[in-house]
Amino acid sequence: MAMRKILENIVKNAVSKPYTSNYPFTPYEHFPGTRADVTWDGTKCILCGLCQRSCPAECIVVHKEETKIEYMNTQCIRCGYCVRVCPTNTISQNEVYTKPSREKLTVYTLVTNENAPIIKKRKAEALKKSEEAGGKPVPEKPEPAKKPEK
Amino acid sequence: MRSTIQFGPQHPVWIEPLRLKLTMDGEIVKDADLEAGYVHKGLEKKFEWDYNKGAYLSERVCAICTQHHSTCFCLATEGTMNLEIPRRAQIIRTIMLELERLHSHFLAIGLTLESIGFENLFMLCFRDREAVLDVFERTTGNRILHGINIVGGVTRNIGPEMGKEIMDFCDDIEKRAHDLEQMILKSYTIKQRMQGVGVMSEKLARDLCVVGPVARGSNVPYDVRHDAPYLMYREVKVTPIVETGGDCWARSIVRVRELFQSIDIIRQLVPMLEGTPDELFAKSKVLPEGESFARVEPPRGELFYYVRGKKSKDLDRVKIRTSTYANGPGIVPLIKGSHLADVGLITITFDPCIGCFDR
Repeated sequence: MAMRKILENIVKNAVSKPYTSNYPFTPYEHFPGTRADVTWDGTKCILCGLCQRSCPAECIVVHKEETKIEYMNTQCIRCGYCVRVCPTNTISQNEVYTKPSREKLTVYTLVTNENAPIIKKRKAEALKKSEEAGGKPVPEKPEPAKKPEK
Repeated sequence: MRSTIQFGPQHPVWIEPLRLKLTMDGEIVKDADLEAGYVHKGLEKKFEWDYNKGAYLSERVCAICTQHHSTCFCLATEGTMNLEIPRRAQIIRTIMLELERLHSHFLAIGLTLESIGFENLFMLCFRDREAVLDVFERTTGNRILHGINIVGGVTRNIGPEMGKEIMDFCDDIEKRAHDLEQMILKSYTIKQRMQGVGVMSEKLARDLCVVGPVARGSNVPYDVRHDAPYLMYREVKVTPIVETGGDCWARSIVRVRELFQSIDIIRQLVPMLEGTPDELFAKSKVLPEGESFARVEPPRGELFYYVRGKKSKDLDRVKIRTSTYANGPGIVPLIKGSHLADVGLITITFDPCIGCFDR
């Protein structure tokens, strides 16, 4: 009886299409709502650093002086905790996976939000300086030294 | 003449490293030494940090019962804060626990069949397991490390559409599990290979305090879901599934029968979601203080977490006692006196998870 069932299965599998997919050539299709890597929206971020403190994998570094966010893609565990703690909904989680890599695939995001406390302070200082200099126009924000982006 | 054989740490039967030092007299095992610790990670020390991150860390203890580990950690930490989580979060957690048991048992049955050389049925088991993993990806966003448990509730909701999908999945997987059960129960080969091999008597099981399907295969009706109910098991009653044989066959059959029990529990739980308020998370007003413990029933047996807080975000101490750690001492008396060819089969019916064993 059991043998018949197994033989039935063998015959059925011999004529039907393979259950497995031809993986590297046909990419695996994820379901909607899959948790993959995260991205920052530079126009919303206020550089509070909550994501850096909450990250269990320590893959986020917020450079306040350079108004930059450093995100190490392959070190991330895709838990989504940073998305949950962000007070301004800056961080969004993608549904597309990054391919495995030996490198850290670091991504830098430049923050340009006018309301971020550090940028606001710098702007005020620059305005003050320009007033002291006698109305001479000074560039709004000192450009930070650019790191090589990958 | 006696000779010594090293069984492991790298052996095709186990997917993780465990070492058995066997003293042989011909084909018969006369003495055995069990050595573990190859994958010790020092996780208990690492737990002394932010308790919110601890839920993610606890999933990494064992990759097969991730949901059980994080649920147990969350229950223990909520105990230190006297926090009651919303009913909907409790239902979702329990559904995930039962789904996790399904995929773990499919894996365990498949590996048992593979160890006796039945690779065809092993592949069928893994095909069915893939269906469960698809449901996980659909509901939680990930196949293995779900990450939906947090201290105070869950992060993802199961809506009415998803509930219907899970019910459809239950019908599908029950049909598949029924096919599998028929193939295993009626197979003369599997029965002959596994019956009477590695018999653990009821007295030995009680003496060694083994847990989970190993105990239930030896007529010890011990199931944490029944003896100390947690979450929704207070309402959904669970009767421990018991086999009297105590051999490899009995231990495997307990797992096969628990598949249907899990499907049954999911069927009872999904309708409870209707009419429950959409509240998933309860925020705690206090920090962890004092000590607390929690017990849950993973697919391998009882799991225990002890948590002590020090009135700060960082925890003071976390102690984990996993199911394989409780079952480990049972391996040695069973393989003493058995054939060398049976050693792999006996150990694999314990469903050893060495990641849990060493932590």
